[in-house]
Amino acid sequence: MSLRNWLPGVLCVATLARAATPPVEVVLATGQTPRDAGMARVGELDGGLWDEAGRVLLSGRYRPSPPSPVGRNAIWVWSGPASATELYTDGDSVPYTSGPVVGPVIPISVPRIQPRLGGYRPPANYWAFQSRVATALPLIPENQALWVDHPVGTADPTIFVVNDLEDHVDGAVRFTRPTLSDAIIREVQGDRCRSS
Amino acid sequence: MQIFVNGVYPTTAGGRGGAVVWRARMPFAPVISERHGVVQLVAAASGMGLGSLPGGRWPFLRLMGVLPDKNLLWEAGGTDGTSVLRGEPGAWSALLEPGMAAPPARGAVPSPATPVARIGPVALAAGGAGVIAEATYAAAAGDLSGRSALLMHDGTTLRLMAFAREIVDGTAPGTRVDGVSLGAVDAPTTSLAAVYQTITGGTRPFSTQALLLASDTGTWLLARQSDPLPEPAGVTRVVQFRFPVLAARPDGTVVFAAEVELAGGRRREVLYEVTPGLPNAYRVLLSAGDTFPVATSDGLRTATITRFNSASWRPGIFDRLLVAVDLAGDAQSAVILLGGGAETAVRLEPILDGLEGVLRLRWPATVPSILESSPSLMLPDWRPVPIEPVLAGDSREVRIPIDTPGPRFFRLR
Repeated sequence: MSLRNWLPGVLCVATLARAATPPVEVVLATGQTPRDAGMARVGELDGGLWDEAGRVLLSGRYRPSPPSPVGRNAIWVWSGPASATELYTDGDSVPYTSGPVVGPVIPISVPRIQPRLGGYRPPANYWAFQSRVATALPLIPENQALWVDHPVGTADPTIFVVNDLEDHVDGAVRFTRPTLSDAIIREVQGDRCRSS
Repeated sequence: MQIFVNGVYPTTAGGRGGAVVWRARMPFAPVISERHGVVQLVAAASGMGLGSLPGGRWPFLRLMGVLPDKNLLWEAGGTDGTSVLRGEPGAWSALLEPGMAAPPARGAVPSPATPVARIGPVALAAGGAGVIAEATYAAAAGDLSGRSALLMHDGTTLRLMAFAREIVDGTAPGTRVDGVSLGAVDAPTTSLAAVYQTITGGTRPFSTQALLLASDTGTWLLARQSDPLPEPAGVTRVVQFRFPVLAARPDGTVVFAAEVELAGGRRREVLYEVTPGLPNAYRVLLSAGDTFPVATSDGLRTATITRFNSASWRPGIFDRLLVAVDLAGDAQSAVILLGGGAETAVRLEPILDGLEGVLRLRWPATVPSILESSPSLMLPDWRPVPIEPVLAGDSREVRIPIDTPGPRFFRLR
């Protein structure tokens, strides 16, 4: 018998005895106020997902606050008991420069964040969020954006991936906008930033 | 890092209609767009002058993920179903494709005598470590012709995880199963997957939902629609599974949610944990009507569960279960964690010493655990490994000779 034939069958599992009734710990629930959220209270939660460092990303909406009849979408992060913190919400400002040349950073009022954590794929050292740029901006008309953030947030700035295609029809310029669905992130040798 | 983005152009977009994939060029600028030249279009279902896909143009294309060897994994849809491709844009090689050789039996190597005619749908295994696909054997596969199967490819090996004929053993005696279709899947390893499937067939045609555990060593029926369950008391049948709720651990236990009917006709949502065996062991983790306290700025309030929406184990450790629930009241919901506290998971560290023909297993010395071994997860027979662990620094280590054929599974208790 060769090692090659034997190896695929090796599966290592480690568990200790589990408590009879699993304790429930609330990560986030309707009516709670995450950190950095002011007085806003959570209205609905769509769900959450783990990252490799054991944090949980959550998405949902705040309760509507007058005069708006609609609650702001938001993404929160949780890293331990009572630690849920607002990460992004509709109307936040994020850095933006135009074109391939790094220019002045212009704060833009972005997006209605998609209510779900679209675009997330392993590796989980990075987070990807999908949003829609709803404001007409210099060089970026209404469009979709898919942006990537690193949990450490220092070595890698927030990155937007915006796409629009200039189309010339009868002498007029228009933009045809694709639908962006998700991001795939591939770590390559020499990546500086690790989250864990 | 590299960022790829999947997207779709409207069909009128300057001849670029259809699915496309872009790559962000390095170095990244805070805003990147194709119009400004920083995003590069790297693949398109319709061609667009880019590297052609094998077999010509495809109606659908998307980048699925990244394999452990950093190769890209693509899904390309055609009229014959789906193909899964590996590699850089324009230099693809097929991982799964219609007409490919497939294993004729569990543990067998792929054979040209048993090709598959159709692939799809496909799903990624946990952590992107492989791809799981539903497949149907081609007419040329003789006795297997038309049978559906579940295949897993980890980038190196193509495994048969389950196929319709095997499921006969887990259904009613004499039942003929013709087909299985992939509903939802959670695979904690590349050799183990929990799968919701629809099973069809029979001399008296039927179609039912089933939850199966598929592995290198066998397929096991964990629960089936319309069957009773022993827990909680009084459950007469499973009405339906909550398909998105599915979380499997490497030890073969599976968490799932189902709407069950109780004696008297009342229905209830239940979150189960099932351990495969003869018989399967079911445990109710939570059920509709359970309550827990929620701390708000107004003080503590009591939340009452009405429904389960998703469940996922903490990746790699499998010690805590993240569960999204609906609560009683309009638009109320929560995300909660189960586990922790009294439960602690310890990871075994395997080291294969090929020169000496031994497997070394290590775990933290602070954990005075008993190492057990079983030849199967489907019919577990856990017995203590009769080798005394030795202290190696801050670890305990056992050296296990590789002297028996077949798979072996290990756990700490």
